[in-house]
Amino acid sequence: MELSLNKEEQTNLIRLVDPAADSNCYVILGKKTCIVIDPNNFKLLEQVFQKWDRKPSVVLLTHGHCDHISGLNELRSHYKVTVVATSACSEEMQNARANMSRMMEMFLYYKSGETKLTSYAPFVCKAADLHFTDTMTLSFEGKSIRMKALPGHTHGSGVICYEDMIFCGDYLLPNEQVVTRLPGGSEEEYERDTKPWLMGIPDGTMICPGHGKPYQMSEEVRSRHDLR
Amino acid sequence: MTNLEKYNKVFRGMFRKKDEELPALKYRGIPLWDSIGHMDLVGELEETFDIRMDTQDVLDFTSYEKGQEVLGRYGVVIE
Repeated sequence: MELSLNKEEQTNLIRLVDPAADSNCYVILGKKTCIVIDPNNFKLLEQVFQKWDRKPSVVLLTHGHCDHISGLNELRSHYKVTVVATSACSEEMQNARANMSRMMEMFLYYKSGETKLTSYAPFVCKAADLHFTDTMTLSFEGKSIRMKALPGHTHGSGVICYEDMIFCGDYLLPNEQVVTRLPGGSEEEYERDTKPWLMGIPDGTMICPGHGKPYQMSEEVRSRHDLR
Repeated sequence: MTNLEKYNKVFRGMFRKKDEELPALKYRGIPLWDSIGHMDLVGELEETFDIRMDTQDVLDFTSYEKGQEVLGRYGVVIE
């Protein structure tokens, strides 16, 4: 568990890493409640809620792949939360093939270099409580949160902008090019809709990826991700 | 449509090959049939034939020919 403190804004940002697929979940702590981005492991989240004495109020999703929503059903069963996602993401999470949980056992096997078979049960989630097709703006303790649909990695992928941070799901991963061949992915959508938007992210913006550590946008990052 | 026609249609769609090219196809024998392509292929075949393959069978599915044998374990006769 990792805690980052943005001193100017007094915002607490916590990153949790689910060991199953090394995916990130982020928690933004407010005064009494918190926002959860990509709930991938309920047990880890519960530790955060207890340690910082906050209840989750809103859940934001960057996309519907299982390694980013695997803690959602349990979270919903314990807390009254409003889940927000793109309309396509809301569809993805309701289908075990589209959310990849059906093939996750194979995916993890390949990721291990075909050495380790890990049990992974397929699952689906209920639809998002609020969904949108292009953009949605929410308010959290007086601060604006802007969600933007950016298809490519999956049809339902999007980013979440909060203060000087962008939670970008499986775009801009530190050591990996964007993958558009997994269920719901489209190279064409990525090139047409998403790449131009990512190219416009200013230097210094904190990039909070779905896997790996957060880092700042720079020319070097743009070059690495062919964003020119 | 026969099961063979359905089977071939899935392979043609996934790997952009003609019917006569299918029998030679093997897992990792062409760029599109890599691990991601394999998961997609299995998902498409499961939907087409309304079955769910065990992980061991997914691993055994190493070629166009072998896939027919694997599907046979689920009562899907390719002919």
